[in-house]
Amino acid sequence: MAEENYLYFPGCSVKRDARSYEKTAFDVFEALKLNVKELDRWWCCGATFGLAVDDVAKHLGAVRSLIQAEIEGAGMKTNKLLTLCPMCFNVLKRVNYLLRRDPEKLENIRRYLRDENLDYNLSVEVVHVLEVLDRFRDRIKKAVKRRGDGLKVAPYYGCTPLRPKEIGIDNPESPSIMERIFESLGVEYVRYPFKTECCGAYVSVYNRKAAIAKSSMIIIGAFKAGANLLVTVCPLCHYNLMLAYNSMKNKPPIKIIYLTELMAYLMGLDRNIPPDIKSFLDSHIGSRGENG
Amino acid sequence: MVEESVIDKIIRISGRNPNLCYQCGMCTAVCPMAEFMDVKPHQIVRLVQMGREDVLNIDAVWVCASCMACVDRCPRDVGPGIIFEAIRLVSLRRGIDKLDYKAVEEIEAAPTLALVTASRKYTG
Repeated sequence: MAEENYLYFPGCSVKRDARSYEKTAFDVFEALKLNVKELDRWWCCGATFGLAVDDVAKHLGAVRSLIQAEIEGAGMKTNKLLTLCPMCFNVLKRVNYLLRRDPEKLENIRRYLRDENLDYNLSVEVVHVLEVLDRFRDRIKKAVKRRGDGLKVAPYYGCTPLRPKEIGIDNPESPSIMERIFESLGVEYVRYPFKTECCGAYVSVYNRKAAIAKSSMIIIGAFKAGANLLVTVCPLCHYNLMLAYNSMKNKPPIKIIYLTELMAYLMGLDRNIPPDIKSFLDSHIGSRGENG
Repeated sequence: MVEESVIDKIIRISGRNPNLCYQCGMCTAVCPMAEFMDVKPHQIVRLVQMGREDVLNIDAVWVCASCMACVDRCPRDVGPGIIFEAIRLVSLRRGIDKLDYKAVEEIEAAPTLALVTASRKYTG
Protein backbone atom coordinates (compact mmCIF):
# COMPACT_ATOMS: atom_id res chain seq x y z
CA MET A 1 0.00 0.00 0.00
CA ALA A 2 1.31 3.40 -0.93
CA GLU A 3 1.00 5.67 2.07
CA GLU A 4 0.43 8.83 0.05
CA ASN A 5 -2.23 7.48 -2.30
CA TYR A 6 -5.86 8.19 -1.61
CA LEU A 7 -9.06 7.69 -3.51
CA TYR A 8 -11.47 10.55 -3.06
CA PHE A 9 -15.24 10.56 -2.57
CA PRO A 10 -16.57 14.11 -3.14
CA GLY A 11 -20.31 14.01 -2.41
CA CYS A 12 -22.86 16.60 -3.42
CA SER A 13 -21.99 19.71 -1.48
CA VAL A 14 -18.32 20.15 -2.29
CA LYS A 15 -19.34 19.99 -5.96
CA ARG A 16 -21.86 22.79 -5.64
CA ASP A 17 -22.01 24.70 -2.40
CA ALA A 18 -18.50 24.34 -1.05
CA ARG A 19 -16.38 24.70 -4.17
CA SER A 20 -13.60 26.59 -2.44
CA TYR A 21 -13.38 23.85 0.22
CA GLU A 22 -12.63 21.24 -2.42
CA LYS A 23 -10.38 23.45 -4.53
CA THR A 24 -8.24 24.65 -1.63
CA ALA A 25 -8.07 21.08 -0.30
CA PHE A 26 -6.60 19.90 -3.57
CA ASP A 27 -4.14 22.80 -3.62
CA VAL A 28 -3.03 21.70 -0.15
CA PHE A 29 -2.82 18.01 -1.14
CA GLU A 30 -0.61 18.93 -4.08
CA ALA A 31 1.70 21.01 -1.90
CA LEU A 32 1.94 18.11 0.57
CA LYS A 33 2.74 15.75 -2.33
CA LEU A 34 -0.30 13.57 -1.72
CA ASN A 35 -1.74 11.64 -4.60
CA VAL A 36 -5.51 12.08 -4.29
CA LYS A 37 -7.69 10.78 -7.09
CA GLU A 38 -11.44 11.25 -7.38
CA LEU A 39 -13.44 8.08 -7.94
CA ASP A 40 -14.37 7.62 -11.61
CA ARG A 41 -17.91 6.92 -10.46
CA TRP A 42 -19.57 7.69 -7.15
CA TRP A 43 -23.08 7.59 -5.73
CA CYS A 44 -24.87 9.79 -3.23
CA CYS A 45 -23.93 8.51 0.23
CA GLY A 46 -27.40 9.39 1.51
CA ALA A 47 -26.00 12.13 3.76
CA THR A 48 -27.50 10.63 6.91
CA PHE A 49 -26.97 7.07 8.08
CA GLY A 50 -30.17 5.03 8.23
CA LEU A 51 -30.52 4.21 11.93
CA ALA A 52 -33.26 1.59 11.82
CA VAL A 53 -32.11 -2.02 11.72
CA ASP A 54 -34.41 -2.84 8.81
CA ASP A 55 -33.38 0.14 6.69
CA VAL A 56 -30.83 -1.76 4.62
CA ALA A 57 -31.77 -0.12 1.31
CA LYS A 58 -30.63 3.26 2.66
CA HIS A 59 -27.07 1.94 2.78
CA LEU A 60 -26.89 0.91 -0.87
CA GLY A 61 -25.51 4.15 -2.33
CA ALA A 62 -22.66 4.07 0.16
CA VAL A 63 -21.98 0.40 -0.55
CA ARG A 64 -21.74 1.09 -4.29
CA SER A 65 -19.12 3.74 -3.68
CA LEU A 66 -17.20 1.44 -1.33
CA ILE A 67 -17.19 -1.22 -4.05
CA GLN A 68 -16.01 1.31 -6.61
CA ALA A 69 -13.20 2.29 -4.22
CA GLU A 70 -12.25 -1.35 -3.76
CA ILE A 71 -11.99 -1.82 -7.52
CA GLU A 72 -10.09 1.40 -8.24
CA GLY A 73 -7.94 1.05 -5.14
CA ALA A 74 -6.43 -2.21 -6.38
CA GLY A 75 -4.91 -0.43 -9.35
CA MET A 76 -3.71 2.48 -7.27
CA LYS A 77 -2.25 0.49 -4.41
CA THR A 78 -4.46 2.00 -1.79
CA ASN A 79 -7.48 0.98 0.26
CA LYS A 80 -8.05 4.45 1.64
CA LEU A 81 -11.16 6.36 0.65
CA LEU A 82 -10.85 10.03 1.60
CA THR A 83 -13.74 12.44 2.13
CA LEU A 84 -13.81 16.16 2.83
CA CYS A 85 -17.46 16.28 3.83
CA PRO A 86 -17.82 14.70 7.28
CA MET A 87 -21.42 13.75 6.58
CA CYS A 88 -20.19 11.57 3.71
CA PHE A 89 -17.39 10.32 5.95
CA ASN A 90 -19.88 9.44 8.67
CA VAL A 91 -22.26 7.53 6.40
CA LEU A 92 -19.57 5.68 4.45
CA LYS A 93 -17.66 4.68 7.57
CA ARG A 94 -20.76 3.60 9.47
CA VAL A 95 -21.97 1.49 6.57
CA ASN A 96 -18.52 -0.07 6.30
CA TYR A 97 -18.45 -0.69 10.06
CA LEU A 98 -21.93 -2.20 10.03
CA LEU A 99 -21.12 -4.60 7.20
CA ARG A 100 -17.93 -5.72 8.91
CA ARG A 101 -19.74 -6.53 12.14
CA ASP A 102 -23.00 -7.91 10.85
CA PRO A 103 -22.65 -10.85 8.44
CA GLU A 104 -26.41 -11.07 8.03
CA LYS A 105 -26.62 -7.47 6.79
CA LEU A 106 -23.66 -8.06 4.50
CA GLU A 107 -25.38 -11.08 3.00
CA ASN A 108 -28.57 -9.06 2.59
CA ILE A 109 -26.67 -6.32 0.75
CA ARG A 110 -24.91 -8.92 -1.38
CA ARG A 111 -28.27 -10.25 -2.47
CA TYR A 112 -29.20 -6.78 -3.71
CA LEU A 113 -25.99 -6.51 -5.68
CA ARG A 114 -25.81 -10.00 -7.14
CA ASP A 115 -27.82 -9.11 -10.22
CA GLU A 116 -25.23 -6.49 -11.08
CA ASN A 117 -22.34 -8.91 -10.57
CA LEU A 118 -21.02 -6.75 -7.77
CA ASP A 119 -19.52 -7.86 -4.50
CA TYR A 120 -17.85 -6.12 -1.60
CA ASN A 121 -14.90 -7.62 0.24
CA LEU A 122 -14.78 -5.13 3.13
CA SER A 123 -11.25 -3.96 2.31
CA VAL A 124 -11.84 -0.20 2.12
CA GLU A 125 -10.79 2.17 4.93
CA VAL A 126 -12.84 5.37 5.02
CA VAL A 127 -10.77 8.33 6.21
CA HIS A 128 -11.57 11.96 6.82
CA VAL A 129 -9.33 14.77 5.59
CA LEU A 130 -8.49 15.73 9.20
CA GLU A 131 -6.90 12.31 9.74
CA VAL A 132 -4.86 12.64 6.57
CA LEU A 133 -3.64 16.13 7.41
CA ASP A 134 -2.79 15.00 10.94
CA ARG A 135 -0.64 12.25 9.49
CA PHE A 136 1.39 14.65 7.38
CA ARG A 137 1.93 17.39 9.96
CA ASP A 138 5.67 17.46 9.33
CA ARG A 139 5.04 18.29 5.69
CA ILE A 140 2.53 20.95 6.67
CA LYS A 141 5.11 22.61 8.90
CA LYS A 142 7.57 22.79 6.00
CA ALA A 143 4.96 24.06 3.55
CA VAL A 144 3.91 27.07 5.63
CA LYS A 145 4.80 30.34 3.91
CA ARG A 146 2.90 32.90 5.92
CA ARG A 147 2.98 33.62 9.60
CA GLY A 148 -0.36 33.27 11.30
CA ASP A 149 0.29 36.07 13.78
CA GLY A 150 -2.89 37.93 14.54
CA LEU A 151 -5.12 34.96 13.88
CA LYS A 152 -6.96 33.34 16.72
CA VAL A 153 -8.70 30.25 15.55
CA ALA A 154 -11.64 28.40 17.08
CA PRO A 155 -11.73 24.78 15.92
CA TYR A 156 -15.25 23.55 15.23
CA TYR A 157 -15.68 19.80 14.78
CA GLY A 158 -19.43 19.45 14.99
CA CYS A 159 -20.85 15.92 15.27
CA THR A 160 -20.15 13.74 12.29
CA PRO A 161 -16.34 13.44 12.45
CA LEU A 162 -16.63 12.27 16.07
CA ARG A 163 -19.91 10.49 16.73
CA PRO A 164 -20.88 7.77 17.18
CA LYS A 165 -17.66 7.01 19.00
CA GLU A 166 -17.21 3.67 17.22
CA ILE A 167 -16.36 5.48 14.00
CA GLY A 168 -15.02 8.79 15.33
CA ILE A 169 -11.60 10.04 14.27
CA ASP A 170 -10.63 11.27 17.74
CA ASN A 171 -11.74 11.35 21.36
CA PRO A 172 -15.40 12.38 20.92
CA GLU A 173 -15.48 14.24 24.25
CA SER A 174 -12.24 16.13 23.78
CA PRO A 175 -10.83 16.00 20.26
CA SER A 176 -7.49 17.62 19.54
CA ILE A 177 -6.70 16.62 15.96
CA MET A 178 -7.58 20.05 14.52
CA GLU A 179 -5.58 21.77 17.24
CA ARG A 180 -2.52 19.70 16.31
CA ILE A 181 -2.92 20.83 12.71
CA PHE A 182 -3.13 24.46 13.87
CA GLU A 183 0.10 23.97 15.81
CA SER A 184 1.81 22.72 12.65
CA LEU A 185 0.47 25.76 10.82
CA GLY A 186 1.78 28.03 13.54
CA VAL A 187 -1.56 29.61 14.40
CA GLU A 188 -2.92 30.26 17.83
CA TYR A 189 -6.19 28.58 18.77
CA VAL A 190 -8.72 29.17 21.51
CA ARG A 191 -10.51 26.85 23.88
CA TYR A 192 -14.27 27.18 24.10
CA PRO A 193 -17.05 24.83 25.19
CA PHE A 194 -18.88 24.26 21.92
CA LYS A 195 -16.42 22.66 19.50
CA THR A 196 -18.31 19.35 19.42
CA GLU A 197 -21.80 20.81 19.86
CA CYS A 198 -24.31 20.23 17.05
CA CYS A 199 -24.91 23.18 14.66
CA GLY A 200 -28.52 22.11 14.18
CA ALA A 201 -27.79 20.02 11.07
CA TYR A 202 -30.81 19.35 8.83
CA VAL A 203 -33.18 20.74 11.45
CA SER A 204 -32.51 24.15 9.86
CA VAL A 205 -34.90 23.05 7.11
CA TYR A 206 -37.63 22.04 9.58
CA ASN A 207 -37.15 24.40 12.50
CA ARG A 208 -34.94 27.23 11.32
CA LYS A 209 -35.09 29.11 14.62
CA ALA A 210 -33.71 26.17 16.59
CA ALA A 211 -30.78 25.67 14.21
CA ILE A 212 -30.00 29.40 14.20
CA ALA A 213 -30.04 29.42 18.00
CA LYS A 214 -27.59 26.52 18.16
CA SER A 215 -25.22 27.95 15.57
CA SER A 216 -25.38 31.42 17.13
CA MET A 217 -24.32 29.95 20.45
CA ILE A 218 -21.28 28.36 18.80
CA ILE A 219 -20.26 31.59 17.03
CA ILE A 220 -20.68 33.73 20.14
CA GLY A 221 -18.88 31.14 22.26
CA ALA A 222 -15.92 31.18 19.89
CA PHE A 223 -15.88 34.97 19.76
CA LYS A 224 -16.06 35.33 23.53
CA ALA A 225 -13.08 33.00 23.82
CA GLY A 226 -11.14 35.50 21.73
CA ALA A 227 -11.33 33.91 18.28
CA ASN A 228 -11.43 35.90 15.05
CA LEU A 229 -11.74 32.78 12.89
CA LEU A 230 -14.19 29.91 13.24
CA VAL A 231 -12.89 26.92 11.31
CA THR A 232 -15.17 24.16 10.06
CA VAL A 233 -14.75 21.06 7.89
CA CYS A 234 -18.44 20.55 7.09
CA PRO A 235 -20.58 22.19 4.39
CA LEU A 236 -23.75 21.74 6.45
CA CYS A 237 -22.19 23.29 9.57
CA HIS A 238 -20.87 26.08 7.34
CA TYR A 239 -24.35 26.76 6.00
CA ASN A 240 -25.98 26.80 9.43
CA LEU A 241 -23.23 28.94 10.93
CA MET A 242 -23.59 31.45 8.08
CA LEU A 243 -27.36 31.40 8.47
CA ALA A 244 -26.91 32.25 12.14
CA TYR A 245 -24.22 34.84 11.48
CA ASN A 246 -26.29 36.62 8.85
CA SER A 247 -29.29 36.68 11.17
CA MET A 248 -27.35 38.50 13.92
CA LYS A 249 -28.07 42.15 14.49
CA ASN A 250 -24.68 42.84 16.04
CA LYS A 251 -22.28 40.70 14.05
CA PRO A 252 -19.11 39.87 15.98
CA PRO A 253 -15.89 40.41 13.98
CA ILE A 254 -15.28 36.71 13.36
CA LYS A 255 -15.01 34.94 10.01
CA ILE A 256 -16.38 31.46 9.33
CA ILE A 257 -14.10 29.52 6.98
CA TYR A 258 -13.13 26.03 5.89
CA LEU A 259 -9.96 24.56 7.33
CA THR A 260 -8.39 24.08 3.91
CA GLU A 261 -9.00 27.75 3.01
CA LEU A 262 -6.95 28.74 6.04
CA MET A 263 -4.29 26.16 5.21
CA ALA A 264 -4.04 27.23 1.58
CA TYR A 265 -3.65 30.82 2.69
CA LEU A 266 -0.90 30.07 5.18
CA MET A 267 0.84 27.92 2.58
CA GLY A 268 0.72 30.75 0.04
CA LEU A 269 -1.72 28.94 -2.26
CA ASP A 270 -4.03 31.86 -2.88
CA ARG A 271 -5.64 31.12 -6.23
CA ASN A 272 -8.76 29.37 -4.96
CA ILE A 273 -9.37 31.31 -1.77
CA PRO A 274 -12.57 33.38 -1.99
CA PRO A 275 -11.73 37.13 -2.14
CA ASP A 276 -13.62 38.04 1.03
CA ILE A 277 -11.70 35.43 3.00
CA LYS A 278 -8.39 36.45 1.46
CA SER A 279 -8.88 40.09 2.37
CA PHE A 280 -10.04 39.20 5.89
CA LEU A 281 -6.93 37.10 6.45
CA ASP A 282 -4.68 39.75 4.81
CA SER A 283 -5.97 42.34 7.22
CA HIS A 284 -5.20 40.16 10.25
CA ILE A 285 -1.77 38.71 9.69
CA GLY A 286 1.84 39.65 9.09
CA SER A 287 3.72 38.10 6.16
CA ARG A 288 6.89 36.09 6.49
CA GLY A 289 7.82 36.91 2.91
CA GLU A 290 9.04 34.76 0.03
CA ASN A 291 11.78 32.94 1.89
CA GLY A 292 9.57 31.65 4.65
CA MET B 1 -52.09 -12.89 12.75
CA VAL B 2 -52.12 -10.20 15.39
CA GLU B 3 -51.03 -6.85 14.08
CA GLU B 4 -47.78 -5.57 15.56
CA SER B 5 -48.34 -2.74 18.00
CA VAL B 6 -46.76 0.66 17.44
CA ILE B 7 -44.51 0.18 20.47
CA ASP B 8 -43.39 -3.30 19.36
CA LYS B 9 -42.61 -1.87 15.95
CA ILE B 10 -40.56 0.96 17.46
CA ILE B 11 -38.59 -1.56 19.51
CA ARG B 12 -38.10 -3.93 16.59
CA ILE B 13 -36.91 -1.44 13.99
CA SER B 14 -34.74 0.48 16.46
CA GLY B 15 -33.06 -2.71 17.60
CA ARG B 16 -32.91 -1.10 21.05
CA ASN B 17 -34.47 -1.94 24.40
CA PRO B 18 -36.19 1.07 25.99
CA ASN B 19 -36.91 -0.96 29.13
CA LEU B 20 -33.25 -0.78 30.09
CA CYS B 21 -33.66 2.96 30.69
CA TYR B 22 -33.52 3.98 34.36
CA GLN B 23 -34.44 7.61 33.70
CA CYS B 24 -31.10 9.16 34.64
CA GLY B 25 -31.71 12.06 32.26
CA MET B 26 -28.27 11.96 30.63
CA CYS B 27 -29.85 12.15 27.15
CA THR B 28 -31.79 15.28 28.00
CA ALA B 29 -28.77 16.86 29.68
CA VAL B 30 -26.54 16.42 26.61
CA CYS B 31 -29.19 16.98 23.92
CA PRO B 32 -28.38 20.17 21.98
CA MET B 33 -32.00 20.48 20.88
CA ALA B 34 -33.72 19.72 24.22
CA GLU B 35 -34.66 23.35 24.78
CA PHE B 36 -36.73 23.25 21.58
CA MET B 37 -38.50 20.00 22.42
CA ASP B 38 -42.08 19.73 23.64
CA VAL B 39 -41.26 16.45 25.37
CA LYS B 40 -37.69 15.84 26.55
CA PRO B 41 -35.63 12.85 25.37
CA HIS B 42 -35.73 10.86 28.64
CA GLN B 43 -39.48 11.48 28.87
CA ILE B 44 -40.02 10.10 25.39
CA VAL B 45 -38.17 6.92 26.34
CA ARG B 46 -40.35 6.68 29.45
CA LEU B 47 -43.51 7.02 27.35
CA VAL B 48 -42.29 4.20 25.11
CA GLN B 49 -41.70 2.07 28.23
CA MET B 50 -45.28 2.81 29.27
CA GLY B 51 -46.56 1.67 25.90
CA ARG B 52 -47.94 5.06 24.94
CA GLU B 53 -48.69 4.96 21.22
CA ASP B 54 -49.25 8.71 21.19
CA VAL B 55 -45.45 9.13 21.15
CA LEU B 56 -46.11 9.39 17.41
CA ASN B 57 -47.58 12.86 17.99
CA ILE B 58 -44.53 14.29 19.74
CA ASP B 59 -42.83 17.10 17.79
CA ALA B 60 -39.52 16.61 19.61
CA VAL B 61 -38.52 13.56 17.57
CA TRP B 62 -38.48 15.81 14.48
CA VAL B 63 -36.32 18.37 16.24
CA CYS B 64 -33.76 15.66 17.02
CA ALA B 65 -30.70 16.28 14.83
CA SER B 66 -29.38 12.70 15.08
CA CYS B 67 -26.18 14.18 16.48
CA MET B 68 -25.54 11.02 18.49
CA ALA B 69 -24.70 12.95 21.66
CA CYS B 70 -27.25 10.92 23.66
CA VAL B 71 -26.50 7.65 21.91
CA ASP B 72 -22.79 7.91 22.72
CA ARG B 73 -23.35 8.79 26.36
CA CYS B 74 -26.32 6.66 27.39
CA PRO B 75 -25.09 4.59 30.36
CA ARG B 76 -27.62 1.85 29.60
CA ASP B 77 -26.98 1.77 25.86
CA VAL B 78 -30.63 2.47 25.18
CA GLY B 79 -29.73 4.86 22.39
CA PRO B 80 -32.57 7.37 22.69
CA GLY B 81 -31.67 8.96 19.33
CA ILE B 82 -32.06 5.58 17.62
CA ILE B 83 -35.48 5.09 19.21
CA PHE B 84 -36.51 8.56 17.96
CA GLU B 85 -35.59 7.54 14.42
CA ALA B 86 -37.82 4.49 14.83
CA ILE B 87 -40.69 6.73 16.00
CA ARG B 88 -40.16 9.00 12.97
CA LEU B 89 -40.13 6.02 10.65
CA VAL B 90 -43.41 4.62 11.96
CA SER B 91 -45.07 7.89 10.86
CA LEU B 92 -43.14 8.22 7.60
CA ARG B 93 -43.92 4.65 6.61
CA ARG B 94 -47.59 5.50 7.01
CA GLY B 95 -47.07 8.13 4.36
CA ILE B 96 -47.11 11.08 6.73
CA ASP B 97 -44.39 13.45 5.54
CA LYS B 98 -43.07 16.18 7.80
CA LEU B 99 -41.52 18.42 5.18
CA ASP B 100 -43.42 20.85 2.99
CA TYR B 101 -40.86 21.88 0.40
CA LYS B 102 -42.95 24.90 -0.59
CA ALA B 103 -42.76 26.19 2.95
CA VAL B 104 -38.97 25.96 3.24
CA GLU B 105 -37.58 29.45 3.69
CA GLU B 106 -35.00 30.48 1.06
CA ILE B 107 -34.86 26.96 -0.33
CA GLU B 108 -32.61 28.12 -3.18
CA ALA B 109 -29.93 29.13 -0.70
CA ALA B 110 -29.91 25.78 1.06
CA PRO B 111 -26.99 23.53 0.14
CA THR B 112 -27.79 20.17 -1.45
CA LEU B 113 -26.59 18.55 1.74
CA ALA B 114 -29.31 20.30 3.76
CA LEU B 115 -32.02 19.25 1.32
CA VAL B 116 -30.84 15.66 0.99
CA THR B 117 -30.54 15.18 4.75
CA ALA B 118 -33.90 16.84 5.38
CA SER B 119 -35.53 14.74 2.66
CA ARG B 120 -34.14 11.60 4.22
CA LYS B 121 -35.30 12.54 7.70
CA TYR B 122 -38.63 14.21 7.02
CA THR B 123 -40.06 12.31 4.07
CA GLY B 124 -40.85 8.62 3.67
